[in-house]
Amino acid sequence: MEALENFGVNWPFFIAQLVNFAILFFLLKRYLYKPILDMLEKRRAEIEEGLYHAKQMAEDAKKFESEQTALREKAKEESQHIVDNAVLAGERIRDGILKDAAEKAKEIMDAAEIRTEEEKKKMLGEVKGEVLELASAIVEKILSSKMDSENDKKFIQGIMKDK
Amino acid sequence: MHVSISAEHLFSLFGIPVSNTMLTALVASFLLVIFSYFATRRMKKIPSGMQNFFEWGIEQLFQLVENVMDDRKLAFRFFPLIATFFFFILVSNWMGLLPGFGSIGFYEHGALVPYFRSATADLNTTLAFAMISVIIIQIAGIAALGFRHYGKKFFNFSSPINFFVGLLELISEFAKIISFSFRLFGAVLAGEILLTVITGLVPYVLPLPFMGLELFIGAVQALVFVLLTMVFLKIAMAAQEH
Repeated sequence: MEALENFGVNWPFFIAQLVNFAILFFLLKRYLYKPILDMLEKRRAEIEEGLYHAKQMAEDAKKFESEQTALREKAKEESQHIVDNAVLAGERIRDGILKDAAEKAKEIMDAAEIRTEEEKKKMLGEVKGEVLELASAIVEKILSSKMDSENDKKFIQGIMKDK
Repeated sequence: MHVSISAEHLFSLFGIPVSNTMLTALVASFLLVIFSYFATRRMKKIPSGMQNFFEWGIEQLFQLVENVMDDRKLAFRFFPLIATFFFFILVSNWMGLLPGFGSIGFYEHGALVPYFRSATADLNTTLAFAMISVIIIQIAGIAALGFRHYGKKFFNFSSPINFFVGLLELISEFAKIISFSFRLFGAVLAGEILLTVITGLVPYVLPLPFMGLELFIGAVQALVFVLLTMVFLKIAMAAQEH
């Protein structure tokens, strides 16, 4: 102890340093270590969380993209299917229409033919009647006038001129 | 030229004697607390200015503690003690280099009594720190291993060899107090004496490199003190091999 005293150890001074250290310890703990360590921890946790979120978001985006590609692929297939179906249906309809048209055309042609035939018959009948009338008129004219070759010639010429 | 090994008594306050090292220790503590208070008064998520600087210091020191203790939980438990040792010793060591330390004072019995003297250049301070450190080491050892297991390190009657090893261990614990206190005290006092001598010989320019050297030694001594404390803590808490 005396050796220590030679170096200036003095119990009141010693105890004062102990007390000073204790007070400093509690004050620094309160105002320096705790707030800063808390903040560092908080920041660390936040950064970790942020990184985790970023990773998850990247994964989500990837998943979303692949989903979208699959969806697009499916949509393409479906649209192709629809187009194919439409083409088939169209062909079917076209065929039907063509057949119908052909039938109708045939019907119209047939009707026209029939009508033509009838007209022809009617016309022939009419012509016949007219020819008969004409013939009878000729006969009447011939019979009503004295026929000589001169007259005959004139007569024929007169008919020819009339007609 | 006058060199005093011990701190000088300045005055008494309410019957409590106040020495120049006590005054310096108070100033150092006050500065530390004030700066800490203003640095952490408005903690922001994105730090700037003083908060940034203090965060950097605390984080560096914390990483050191975590590396040496090799355990995050232990690092959190002992960090306040380690950091207080470190900052106080560092500030005290460096304050001793300020102009006016050891040179401004009053004359008593023909010798200069400076108002300020680096707190760590006083065996009272370093002895107090060494005591705190060693007592905490013992408490940590008992808390980690249990009283019986920890005591076995020092009082082991299983064989004569173990008994003597235990005795040596016991002595080494007391030696720690001496080595802790005298190492720091000696380094700082020697530095101050060196600077006084150099300044006495050549007052201009020449002391400057020695000032730099003392800055370096001041930081190293603070680091040595806390590193040894941490290593001893770690050893005390390690389970004994049988």
